[in-house]
Amino acid sequence: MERASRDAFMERALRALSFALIAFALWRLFTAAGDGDVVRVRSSSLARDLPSIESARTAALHVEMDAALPPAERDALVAVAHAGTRVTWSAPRATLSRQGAAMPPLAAVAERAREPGGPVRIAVTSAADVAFSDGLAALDTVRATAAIRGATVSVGEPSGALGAVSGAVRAFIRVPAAAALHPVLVVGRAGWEAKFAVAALEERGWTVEARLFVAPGADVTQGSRGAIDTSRYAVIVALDTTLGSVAASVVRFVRQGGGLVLLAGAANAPAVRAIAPARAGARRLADVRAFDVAEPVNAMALYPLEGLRGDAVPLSTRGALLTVAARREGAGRVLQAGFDETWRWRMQGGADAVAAHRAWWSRMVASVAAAPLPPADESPAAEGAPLARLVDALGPAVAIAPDASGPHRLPGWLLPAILLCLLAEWASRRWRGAR
Amino acid sequence: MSDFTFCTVQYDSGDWDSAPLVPANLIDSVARYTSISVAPTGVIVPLGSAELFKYPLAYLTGHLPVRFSELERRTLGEYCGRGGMLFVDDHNHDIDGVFHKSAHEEIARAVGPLKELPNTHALYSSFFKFDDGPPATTHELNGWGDNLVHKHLLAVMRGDRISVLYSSKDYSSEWGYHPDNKRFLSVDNTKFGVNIVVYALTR
Repeated sequence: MERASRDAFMERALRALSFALIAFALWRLFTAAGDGDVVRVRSSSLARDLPSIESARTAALHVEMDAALPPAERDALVAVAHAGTRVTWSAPRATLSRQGAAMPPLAAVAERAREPGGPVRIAVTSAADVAFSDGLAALDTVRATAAIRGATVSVGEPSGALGAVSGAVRAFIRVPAAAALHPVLVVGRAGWEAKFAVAALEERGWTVEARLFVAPGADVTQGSRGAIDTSRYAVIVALDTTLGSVAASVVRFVRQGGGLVLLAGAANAPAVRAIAPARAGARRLADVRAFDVAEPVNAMALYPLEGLRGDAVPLSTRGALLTVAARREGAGRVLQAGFDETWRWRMQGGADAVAAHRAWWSRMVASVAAAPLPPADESPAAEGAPLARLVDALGPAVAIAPDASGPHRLPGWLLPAILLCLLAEWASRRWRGAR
Repeated sequence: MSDFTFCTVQYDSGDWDSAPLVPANLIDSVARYTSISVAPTGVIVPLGSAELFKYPLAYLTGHLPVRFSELERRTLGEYCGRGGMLFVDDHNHDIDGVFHKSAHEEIARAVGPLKELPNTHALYSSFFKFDDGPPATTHELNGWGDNLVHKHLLAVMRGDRISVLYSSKDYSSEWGYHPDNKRFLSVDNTKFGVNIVVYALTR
């Protein structure tokens, strides 16, 4: 009897315990987490959950980044952290990109080419594929191999905000305003090279002035004959050694920030010898006659660059011959290209030769053009490195223990405990023979 | 290596070689008045040939009807589209003549319609100054051909550049003499030809 009463007492205790645990589970399911619990949210639903989080004065908040976090929501989390809540975050466990980097360290910055209507070039680094888009549509995608190191993408004028997405990270890229470019001054002998160089630059949108030597005391002038300085011109293009009235001013112009392009044998002109990247060697004909679409410069006659200065940078070669080099002189830049009769490319090249010739000339001039920097844009909407900003604001990602509790989630041990109590109570009654 | 080579266009129809002395005379004038490196002899290039693209200024004249073949028409259109310039002169000095009418049609089909070139155009000041526009020729003043003194030249423009320059003033006759005979002239009447060459080389 004594044993039977003891067993009955134990059965009533187990039954009461299981009811208490069930009541506790129900209470946990229908109430918010109290102090001491970590509230877990996903970044994709943060906008919806933030008001309740802010009003509940949660002790700890953990955000799982399953989607790109807009700057405004990130700033709201910072405000929550400053109010006393411990805010942490983690990258999603699921693989979202082909390369397995769910939250890659995306960083992108845009610069505008220094030529009229030039493309916007975006330099990007990431560990996963990067997709670019503007306000209207997708623009381009850069595929990651192992990782993207300094890839550059050129896009046309974007419509609206320019963005990049890589995994769960989205960057909003600031596009600088177009620089106000001064005219280009072309100097040299009157000839087909002068004609087509001026035409190519004008057709690409540059304002071009020219001083072309025709006879002693007779120049053909296009534009004004004002002073040679950086407030009037962005670049001087010297087609040959005939610099005329420009010779006395060109070195000062470059040192003050102007650009200088030396074509063919122009580098041997006495006025520019001291600042040219190299001297121009003896003229050589091209080995090929046809203008290949891929490498049209191979068909041009060439004054190879020789005796490269120590501070000059070689940029292009044709076999063993150096064809293009550049160097800095004071605040300006000098580009030397030894090609001669580039006009033949335009007249005798393939179907795309006219456009390609224009683009080549425009790129050459743009690479050295003096252009005032556009004013800095501190717009908060622009964010080229969102992951870096997130880490800077909330600290690095953390790993949360898989059994941490949270709102709407029961402890893992609760259900087994309830079942165990009920099972033990039932087994005891059966053993005792009670019904 | 010369900066400029005088090119005469050979076309399939008509008498393209009606002014054989013009090239030498203009070459002489360009060499005489400018420092442009000019080839001592000109070249003759078929209009339908890819060789035409080596000479961005070409001269075309004749007395007879002009009828371009499909290849010549296509080549001329491409040539002008890339920046080449064609100078056409009516050797008849007759706007009712067959050369004038047919050449107008063919140029319009290949490149575009000819329109009057203003006498203030840069062509008239590219080297020598011609304040009154294109200089008159002796054939105009003698009443030959259409008995008109044409005040304007015609042109097809590509942007602000001349693509085709057309003359009804018969410069082919005016300049068709041996350069040595310039010494008998009080005024060198080939100076306007120098303007055409300098304009082509700078614009």
